[in-house]
Amino acid sequence: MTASARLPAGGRIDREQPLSFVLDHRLLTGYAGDTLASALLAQGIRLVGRSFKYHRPRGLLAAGVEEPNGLLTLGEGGRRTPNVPATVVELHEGLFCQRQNGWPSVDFDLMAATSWLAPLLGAGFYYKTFMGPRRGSWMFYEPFIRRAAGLGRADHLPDPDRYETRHAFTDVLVIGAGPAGLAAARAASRAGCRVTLVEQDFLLGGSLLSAAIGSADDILRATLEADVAAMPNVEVLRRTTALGVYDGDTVALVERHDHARPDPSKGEAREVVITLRARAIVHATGAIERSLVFGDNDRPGVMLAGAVRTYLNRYAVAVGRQAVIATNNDSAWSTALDLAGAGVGVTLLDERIEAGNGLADAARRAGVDVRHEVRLCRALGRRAVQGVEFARRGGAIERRACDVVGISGGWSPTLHLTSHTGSKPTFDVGLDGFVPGPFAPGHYGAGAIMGTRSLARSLAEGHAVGDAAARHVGAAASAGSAPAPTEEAPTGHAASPPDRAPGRGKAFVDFQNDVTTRDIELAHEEGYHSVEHLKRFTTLGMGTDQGKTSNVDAARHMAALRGIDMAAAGTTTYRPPYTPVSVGALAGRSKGTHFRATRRTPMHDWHLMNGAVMIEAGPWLRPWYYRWAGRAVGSAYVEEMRLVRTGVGISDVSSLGKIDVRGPDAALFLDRVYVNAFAKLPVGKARYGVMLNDDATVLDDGTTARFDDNTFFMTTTTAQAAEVMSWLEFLLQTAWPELRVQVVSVTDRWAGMSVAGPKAREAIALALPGVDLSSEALPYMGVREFDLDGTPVRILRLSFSGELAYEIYVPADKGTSMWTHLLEQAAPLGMRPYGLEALASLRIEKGHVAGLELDHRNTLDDLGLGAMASKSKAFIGRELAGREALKKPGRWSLVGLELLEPTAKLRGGAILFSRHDALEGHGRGYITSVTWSTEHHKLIALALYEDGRMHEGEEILCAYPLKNEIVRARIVSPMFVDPSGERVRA
Amino acid sequence: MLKALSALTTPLNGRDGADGRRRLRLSELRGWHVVQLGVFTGGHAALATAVRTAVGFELPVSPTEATVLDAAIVFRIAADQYWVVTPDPSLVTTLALAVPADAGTVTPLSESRTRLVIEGPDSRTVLSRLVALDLHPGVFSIGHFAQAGVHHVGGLLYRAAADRYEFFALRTYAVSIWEVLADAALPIGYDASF
Amino acid sequence: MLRIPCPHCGERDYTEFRYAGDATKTRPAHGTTDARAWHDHVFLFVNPKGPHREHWQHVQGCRQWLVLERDTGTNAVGRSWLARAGEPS
Repeated sequence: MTASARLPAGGRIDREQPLSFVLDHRLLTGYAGDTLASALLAQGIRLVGRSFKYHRPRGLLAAGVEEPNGLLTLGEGGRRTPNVPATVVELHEGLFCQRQNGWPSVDFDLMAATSWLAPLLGAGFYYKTFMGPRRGSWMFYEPFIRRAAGLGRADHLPDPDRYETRHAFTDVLVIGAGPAGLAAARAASRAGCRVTLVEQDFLLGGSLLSAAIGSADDILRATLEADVAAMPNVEVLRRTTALGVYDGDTVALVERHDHARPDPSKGEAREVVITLRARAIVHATGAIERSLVFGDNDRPGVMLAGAVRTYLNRYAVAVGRQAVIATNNDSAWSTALDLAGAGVGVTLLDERIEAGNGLADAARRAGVDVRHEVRLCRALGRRAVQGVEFARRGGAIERRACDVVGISGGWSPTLHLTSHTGSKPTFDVGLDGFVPGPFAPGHYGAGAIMGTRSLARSLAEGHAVGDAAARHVGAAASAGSAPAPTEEAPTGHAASPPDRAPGRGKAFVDFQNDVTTRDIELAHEEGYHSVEHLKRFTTLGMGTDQGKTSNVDAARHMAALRGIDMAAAGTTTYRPPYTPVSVGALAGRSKGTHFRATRRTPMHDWHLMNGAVMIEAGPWLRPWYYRWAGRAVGSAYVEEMRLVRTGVGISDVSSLGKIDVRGPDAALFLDRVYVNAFAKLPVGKARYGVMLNDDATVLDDGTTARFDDNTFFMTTTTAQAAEVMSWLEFLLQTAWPELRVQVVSVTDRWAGMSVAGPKAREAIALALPGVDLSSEALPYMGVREFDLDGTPVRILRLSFSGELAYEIYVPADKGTSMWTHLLEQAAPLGMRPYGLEALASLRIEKGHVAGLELDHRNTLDDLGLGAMASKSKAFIGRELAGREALKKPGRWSLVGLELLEPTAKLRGGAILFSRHDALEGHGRGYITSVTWSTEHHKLIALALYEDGRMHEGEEILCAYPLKNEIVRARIVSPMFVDPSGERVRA
Repeated sequence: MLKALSALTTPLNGRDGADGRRRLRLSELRGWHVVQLGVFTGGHAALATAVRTAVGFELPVSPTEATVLDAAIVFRIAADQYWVVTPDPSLVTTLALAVPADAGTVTPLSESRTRLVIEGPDSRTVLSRLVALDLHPGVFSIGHFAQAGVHHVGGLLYRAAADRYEFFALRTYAVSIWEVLADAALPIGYDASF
Repeated sequence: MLRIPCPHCGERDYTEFRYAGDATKTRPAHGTTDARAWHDHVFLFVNPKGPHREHWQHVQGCRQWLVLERDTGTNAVGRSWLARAGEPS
């Protein structure tokens, strides 16, 4: 630790507002306006972490999102967030953070011994050593490797914070609030557009924020910010990162509120993901400075020159007292000048023969020791830089003592987002960097992203594209004139691409993943030439920083090895997110009970208050079983089945899909969609029907009743309700618009309840004494609609269970009232509710197929329903039902199974084999549904089996490999109950 | 004999926002009816005439703007479908009798929807968390409506006044939508009443 | 987020829609007994890279089936019209 590096005055910090924070259990202080990084540097803390593989001491390289080294773990417990760059954390009171990847501590790291293993740990090391012919060795070594190499740890506790999502719309989205972005937002808003300006920083201004307070650039920044703030049609989103640009010019933004210490109990969100749809997008994302590649260039204190200036001017932190600035372009000269102005001793090493206009003179006047045509060879020191070695090309090595090295290898336009749109970056030789390729319509770029380094030109470009974007979205007003700077800072480009000077030590390209020039050479030797292969072989650019400071240097090194130019080398593909985003933010509030919307039947509350145990069935919450029948489902459903087989029970069937099919052509329409005939269905009757898909597989089954000539009431299975509705609409809207039919979903309008059991008629008679329920008046499959004191009531006599049964429908708001009325009136008969488990078991016993059997592969014949198909009319799927493959022997078809081993279990999903088969492969079928049979006092099942019913009576084997079970069962008829149907007609 | 019950019978108590504000009011509107008119191909003129003769109003043309009358609000919910929302049950009967069987259909749907009211200066903010619609006052002005997903469930959103939106939710989803609305309103503070 | 212009409701997120594929083919008339015609309609698709027409249904909105022009290579969205109304001339 060294003394405080904070300057006595200056910076965009509020010295009246000190903030306490904790680093590795040490209490430290910074100011409002600091980032965690600037606060650490101000305290003289240079060493921020240990490197990924070699555990080398590392310091901060940058001042922004590109930071590869300074990754800390923030927060504790469920809030613990690993791998957060200190450079993007806005300091707030009580911030708790830890350094990572050091054991026992970052300052004294025993794991640094891995440096001795460095020759072994080169690129491809893991693959070659552990993934080779000796299988299993990876399993052995993995825990060690994971502990030794790596970043921060996540925790496994639930995150107590709240995350939000919201939808947004705008005319012109401006990404980046640097000079170009501010000028664009100003122009587009003045032209009358709705403008959204997003900035990842907590202050607006971008590069202008790094200028000294009171300088011309600072005044310009304030003016631009005020101009934008004055426009009511601009929404400014600070602390907001554009993560990705997607189809339809939809942009994913994440807004962070950590600084405000949000309280989840008050509904305050820690992060908000905003899905923004923009009509035009201005990309003003700026540029990121590249490092220089030389020996031991990762020593703490070696930083990007721009970052040194940012810490100096924005945060009033002089990172060192003796600085060496090394550059291949003009921008770093500003750093040298500002440092010198702050009293720091500066040596400036420029690789070029000369710098931009007048710079050298100005620097010398400021007391800077200027050296041209020299390159850095090596940084000296270990836990902090203590000096550098540099040399002329081919010349002798000179040394210079220093405590900070500012490096600049040129600037890479931040073209991640434009790349998301499919615009392929192109290499600009003059800039010595990649610039965005051609833009899609409605997309514009301005400022440093376009390779523009001049402030005046950035402002002019920003203004021009803001105006153009406004016109693109149809704005008519004038944007006025562009803002102009009063003086121009050094902005020249790299005169010559940097190349590596001779020097000892590891020369890092990707700091975060510990990739050196030697690794790139190794990749080249092993034939991993393309940038995409290089990336995967060396893991270069695959860290949390995604190689923001390193990708171009890596490509350049490989291009040199291959003897090709940069344009031919290209870049890897940029994919969202631009910077890491927490999973919590992406999930938003869609977790727990809000994971998805759930459906409740009209009798839901009654079920809850009367002992129902609920279960999710698709989106529905349904009673699974009731506590009157038992404490566990296994015993309760059998009790409920017994009630229905011997007395009477009532069950909530409101979740069945219900569709009104109305119109003069409704009967004709149903005749087309069902395999069986409906045209001649009499009024007052219902019919069981099956629908096929066009390819002749079964789509759904259900019952449709006719209430008058033009009015049908269709029910579908709960699972397929939405499918069937869309299918009917598809047919009516695309294929047969001439049919005079309207289909309307009335699932939500009607509460449905099934009263089933031998005493069902008696039960309903007690509740609805005025209704004639005799078999003459209401025979099996008969339906009736009547008015009960102003409420329409529908009774359909149909049975899912195989017992005498009625379905009663009333408008949803009267559902609970009818349900309780039925239960109260039928109480003398012992009627009680039964749940989904019993409902499903009763139908298995009766041999009714349902969702588990309908696997969208079976045909009518497979399900034993072939006889339903009409011979006298066309229906959907008829022609393709005759396909050879659907008629061949060997198809899996519906059978019943009974268990032959009383102590064993039948299990859904068990694989079926004949007794002579080897027990391997997919078998001859599988079990679809299992239940205890109250009729037969044994476990029974429905199954699909090869040539099913031909094997009736045969003993087969049911294999359940997950539990190592093989049990014997016999193939029987799937109709376990009342095969002749006497009960339902009673 | 049978008693009508709202889908929203599980009371969700009002909760304060961060500083005790209650800037959002959530409630349910009751005592109204809705019928859906469906028009067959070629039946539009006959149906429009029948409606005009029977109840005296024109079917709206706009797919985004409701027609607000003394007796009813009429929404054109699809090219060939309309909703008539009215407090007057006799209007429903009249329409059912008036529409010729070969021109279109009248389907009563009153019990199938729950009409949620979201009111207050921050109602737009809350809705923007749930529905992917541009609710900017210049785009979604008073009287506008849209059918869209709230929490991925379709429904009809209607801007009844400057700070008042009504959402016609499917009844079986109403509790779930209510819960998600209340949760979205938590940071603003809401007052829920039935 | 693909944005789909619903002919009735206006432009919406594609997540409000249901996708049903190729809309360039004409369904055989109901009752067509030629199994080959049904086979071709149900199973054979061109699957072009480039401009295409597809059926989508605005399930969370007006529930209308529409035909959408979409470039399968770029995801660029073109015109749309109600399936029952047919392509506007």
